[in-house]
This record gives sequence, structure tokens and C-alpha cells, in this order.
Amino acid sequence: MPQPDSVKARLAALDRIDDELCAVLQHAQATIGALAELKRGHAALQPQLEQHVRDYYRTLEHSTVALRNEIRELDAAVGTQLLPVNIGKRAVGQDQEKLSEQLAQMDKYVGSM
Amino acid sequence: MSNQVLLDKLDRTTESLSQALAQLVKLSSIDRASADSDGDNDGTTDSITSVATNGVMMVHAHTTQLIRGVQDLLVITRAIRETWVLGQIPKKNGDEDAIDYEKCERLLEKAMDDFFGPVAL
Repeated sequence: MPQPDSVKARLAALDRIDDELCAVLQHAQATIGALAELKRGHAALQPQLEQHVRDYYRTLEHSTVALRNEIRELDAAVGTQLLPVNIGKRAVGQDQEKLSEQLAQMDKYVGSM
Repeated sequence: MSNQVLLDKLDRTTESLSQALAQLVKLSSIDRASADSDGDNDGTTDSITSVATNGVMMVHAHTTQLIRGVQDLLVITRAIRETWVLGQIPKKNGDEDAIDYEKCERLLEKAMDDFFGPVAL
């Protein structure tokens, strides 16, 4: 179903946040990996470890701030673009196509008489 | 889910995520340096095995916490996405979607007349 541009923009922003959240895990993994190597005696990895830790916190901050902004956007849109209540939306309008088809047939066979 | 709930959850998760990695790094040296830790555990009196076991369990707990935290944040983005897609205020349909009920009525009446003959009212 085609979405309005404003919704598309929000969905794209949420996709980017998802990517960043996954990157948080990746940086955590890199940090632990570098730490393990460091413990095995590779002292040269110290700057790399620092970089990974920095990346972890930077990505975490970035993604959570973006997420907070998204929640704000959501809050602002309630009432104007979004319904203030949760409704269990089922497959509304899915039968529209069939209905129009049947009406067209009826028009063809009955309407022309 | 209301937005305040989402914000609270985000705050809590961010806090635990920011501590999880630090805890992991701290725990990585517990088995060999329990003596010079800042005394917040009883490791100095325990055997090295018990300290190491505790350390491993704590590492597991914090790793799980880290992964769970990221999962929770992903759940939040999913909830927001769901609200955007499913919670939109339905627009008035354009002319192409609207059903001409009067025309339907006329067609139906005509069909009935054709099948059963004109009904005298």
C-alpha cells in the first residue's frame, strides 16, 4: 500500500535507527574482541580498543537520541495524522477490487438492457 | 503503547546498555585481579575458582543484558513503525473508490425485474 511521503520519511528514519542499533552490537563485539586480544598480550591493540569503545558509545548515543526524536514526532502526529487510539485494523478494503469487478459485470449484463 | 511508556523504556534501556559494556570490561579482569578490585565483592576471601565462576556468570548476565537491550530498542522502533503504518487517520476515498450506491440499487432493481418480472407495488 503506498504511504504518504511524510510517513515514508519516518519509516526511512526508523530503518536507519535499526541499522545503528545493530551497529551498536557490532561495536560491542569488536570491543570485546579487541579486549580479548589485548589480554593475550597484543598491547598494540590498545588504541583500537579505545576506538571501538568510542564507536560503541557514539553509535548508542546517536541511535537513542534519534529514537527519542522519533517518539517525539510520533507524539506530535497523534491527532493530526494518526489516530489517538489503538484500533485493531483488519484487512479493510481488501474486497474492494472484487466488489468493483462484480459491479462492472452487473453493469455490463443488466445495465445495458 | 503510549509514548510516555516508550520514552521510559528507552531511558531504562539506554542506561542499562551504557553500563553493560563497562561492566563486561570490568569483569574481564576479575579472575586475576580480584585482590585489587575496589572491594565491592567478597572475592578476596573466596577461592579463585569461585571468583572465576562468579565472573563467568556475571559476564553471561551482562552479555544477555546488552543483547536484550538492543532487542528492546528494536522492538520500540517496530512499535513506532506499526503505529505510523496502521494508525493513520483514514482519508476520504477519491471518486474512483467510492461506490455509487444509487446506481447499485437501480441495477439490482432492474435485475430483479428481469428475473422475476415487474413487481407491482
